Amino acid sequence: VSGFIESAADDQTILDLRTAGRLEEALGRLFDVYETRIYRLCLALLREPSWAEDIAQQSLIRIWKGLAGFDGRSALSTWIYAIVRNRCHTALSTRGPRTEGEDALVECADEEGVDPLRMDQAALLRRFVEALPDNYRVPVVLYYYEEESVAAVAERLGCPEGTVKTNLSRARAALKAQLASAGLGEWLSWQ
Amino acid sequence: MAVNERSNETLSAEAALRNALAPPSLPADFRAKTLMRLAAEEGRDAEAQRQAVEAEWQQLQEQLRQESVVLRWRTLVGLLGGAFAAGATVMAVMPWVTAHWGDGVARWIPVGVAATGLLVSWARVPEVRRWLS
Repeated sequence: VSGFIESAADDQTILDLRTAGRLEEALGRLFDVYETRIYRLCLALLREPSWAEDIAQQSLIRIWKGLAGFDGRSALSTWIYAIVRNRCHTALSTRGPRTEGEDALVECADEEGVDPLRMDQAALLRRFVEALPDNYRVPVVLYYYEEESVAAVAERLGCPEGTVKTNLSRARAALKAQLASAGLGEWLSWQ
Repeated sequence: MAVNERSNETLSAEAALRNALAPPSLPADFRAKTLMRLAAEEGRDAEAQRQAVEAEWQQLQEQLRQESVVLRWRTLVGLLGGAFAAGATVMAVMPWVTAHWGDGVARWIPVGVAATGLLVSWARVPEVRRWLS
């Protein structure tokens, strides 16, 4: 709850500064609050750092240009994440998702073909997460990246909290099954 | 640490996932690069706006020039038409006027028309008023 209150206060500050014509301060605040979140959302959706950087920059520019016309019909953060998601979906529909093996989050690409039992635990988990379908992978990645609430992830993705909870639960189940099939079923405890 | 060395350990899945999915940091100079892109886009926007205004102004100029040419043609055609109509009217009416009021009236009619023209010009055209005064 406190996160949402802080976020709302930040949003109001950005809007007030923009309205008062203190553009540099407003822009600085926008970056302070949103640049990392936007980049991480882009990275979660697009998977490739350079692509995510490009789309995050495009999104921030679009957000800044559109801020003067923001009508307040939704929370600023909701509007911002909607723009970012739209940019990412447009980028994906234009270029298509990255093919397997190009995934940036799987930083163990050089470990291809190595026995999973000899892989680093974190790298193995990342690989399993990356293998999840997007509707499971993206909530998992955002949830654990940001260490934020389900509500915050739901806001980023523009979907109900129940959907995020369900997808997180199914993702954990899928990961558990993958670990079990790799002979590592007892490796992690799932509460 | 290799998995087989810790396979007997049971770790919290939550903690393991948080550890595995460490949040990525922003790329180097992300903000500076974004601001440069923004400045470039705003520059392009300003240039596009300038070009649009310039094109609109040129279009307006061209439209005014064309309207001016049309007006000049209309004026010339009007003058010629008016002169021709006046001549034709005089030719048609003069025999009847001279037959009824004699040759003297025929001399005074052009004088009266010229005086009326000067009066109208003096009333409506400032340049003529200045010239006459």
